[in-house]
Amino acid sequence: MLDFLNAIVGGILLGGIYSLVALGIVIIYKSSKILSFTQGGFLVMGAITGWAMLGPFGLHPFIGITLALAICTFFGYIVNRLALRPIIGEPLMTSILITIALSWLFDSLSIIAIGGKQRAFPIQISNSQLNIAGINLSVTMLLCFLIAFALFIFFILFYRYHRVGLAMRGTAEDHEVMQNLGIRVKNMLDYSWMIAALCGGVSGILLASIISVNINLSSIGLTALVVVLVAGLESIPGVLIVGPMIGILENLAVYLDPYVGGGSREVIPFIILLIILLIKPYGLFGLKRIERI
Amino acid sequence: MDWLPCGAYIDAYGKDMRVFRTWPQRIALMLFLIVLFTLPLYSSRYILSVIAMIGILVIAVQGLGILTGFAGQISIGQAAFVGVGAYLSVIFNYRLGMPFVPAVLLASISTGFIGLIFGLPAMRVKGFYLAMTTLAAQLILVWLFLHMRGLTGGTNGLFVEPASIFGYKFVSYQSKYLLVMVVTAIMVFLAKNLMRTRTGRAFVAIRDNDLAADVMGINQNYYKLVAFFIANFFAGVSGAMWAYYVNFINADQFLLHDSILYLGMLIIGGMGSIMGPIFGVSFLKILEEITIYVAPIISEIYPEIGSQFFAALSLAVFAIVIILFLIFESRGINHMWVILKNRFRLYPFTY
Repeated sequence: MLDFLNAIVGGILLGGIYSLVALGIVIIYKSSKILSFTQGGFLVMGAITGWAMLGPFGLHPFIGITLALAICTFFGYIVNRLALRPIIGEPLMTSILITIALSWLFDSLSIIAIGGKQRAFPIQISNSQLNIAGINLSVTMLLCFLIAFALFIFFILFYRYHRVGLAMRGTAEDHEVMQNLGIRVKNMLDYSWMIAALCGGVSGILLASIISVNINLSSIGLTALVVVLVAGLESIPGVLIVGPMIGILENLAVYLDPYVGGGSREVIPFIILLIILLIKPYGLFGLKRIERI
Repeated sequence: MDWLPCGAYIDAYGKDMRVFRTWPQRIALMLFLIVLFTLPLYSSRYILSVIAMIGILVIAVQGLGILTGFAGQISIGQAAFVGVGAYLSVIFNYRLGMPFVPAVLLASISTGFIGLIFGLPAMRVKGFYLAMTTLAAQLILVWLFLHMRGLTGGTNGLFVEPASIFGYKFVSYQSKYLLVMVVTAIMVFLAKNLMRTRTGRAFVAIRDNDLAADVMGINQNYYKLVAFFIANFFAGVSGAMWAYYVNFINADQFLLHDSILYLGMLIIGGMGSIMGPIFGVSFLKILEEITIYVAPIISEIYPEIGSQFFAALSLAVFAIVIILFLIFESRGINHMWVILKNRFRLYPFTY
């Protein structure tokens, strides 16, 4: 029973990180209708720049992490400027493939930066474990979850009330109309990619401080995509709910392992995705779009 | 737009429907096929192996081209279905003791049906959702390859005995090359002709606007599933050829990376054409061979970069090539080829 509770609590905390990564994807989708496969790349970039600033360069943690996040944001800007802006208005296929190719570029950069080795993150936020009624809580993961939660509240309010947030949502609907209303569409796209890269960087640093810095971190980008699609592509509260849900189910998949020969947590998110999309094609919290000819 | 050269007239509908409408085209095709099939006589083992791999991949990418380029259903899972075809053909041939040709056919058809299962969401979702369901299929299938140890050998993979037709064993690399080339030629021919039937035109209608196609009386769901079946049938044939050419199959040969590479080949070659996959596969395969050739030289000059460099280099090269093609020539090499041909045909007059 305690194992079970531990799995659930651990799943919720892990899901917090998934949600944070997924948030970046949703932000990009909300302003440009592009599903970004690059988010995992930003995550690794955040982890590696954070590691480089604190480890080899030996900067003060505060300055180092700020600098790493700034570099990540800059990466977001560059990526949008060089690769995504030229393909505005191109078919879906183009945007999918270009974001995948970008994630390959990030992967190769990270291979060049750290190679196949694991690197321990130089600073630990906290090593201690809270123990509440027998349930282990890692303080770092709890902190991640709280950061994710705070960012979520911020972005929900941002998209609902702030001028720029509203403009971003409008940009997703129709570029030309927004242009005519006096909104700089190009700037909106820049902002959304920068915010997404920032989210990726934050989650990368948090994740690196929990696990370690390695090139396989980018595969979390795929799980985050599952979270986004199950949540229904453009719902920020949905992502906050679905992230922990996937996290819990992944952790509970351990109980399936004896029957299938291990490793079921790698595929469980994708099986969930297939089932959910067959039952509810637009995700759990998505908008059903009505098509016209 | 494919112009005819000056002086070539078409005076019957039948002539207009021909695949090769002028004599120079037919002669060029004949010469190409003759060179392709006599290549084992005067070329090295290395060149044959590269061309045979191109042939195998052309089959898979041709299938992906039918699904993605013609029917407009994005699939990021073709490599896994190639794997299904490879494993099934070997299982049918050796575990169940079927002869080679029926085993390959049955394996390809079963691959088609397995693809159909993962294509079912296509009836309800499209775009990003469909891309992700096929990606899910890719990851789930590779996981199954690794975990169904009894059938697939798990991480150890399977060693494949040479194929045999009527007692003739395809052991030597020349004979395997010829087998692959014959099958590739047949499959490309099938793909070309499929696009001239009602089914092919229905695919194009669905790609251009599936709702409008539905209103025009094309059963959207039926044709989407047919597209999935055909694409995965091609993947199955390609997988069977892979198994009997490489003589070893392993889950590592059919990863997500390969699926994306197939999509990249399709894009670089040009979607919505039969020549596209051939150009795209050849281009990326040759690029890969060049990086394999160049990487050791670079790592000799700069030894501090390390052995990881090759993996990073080939990833980066593929990524940059795909990005550049998407930005600057999203219709691929095939489009350049058509422009070039038309320029020669219309030479003195640029209409």
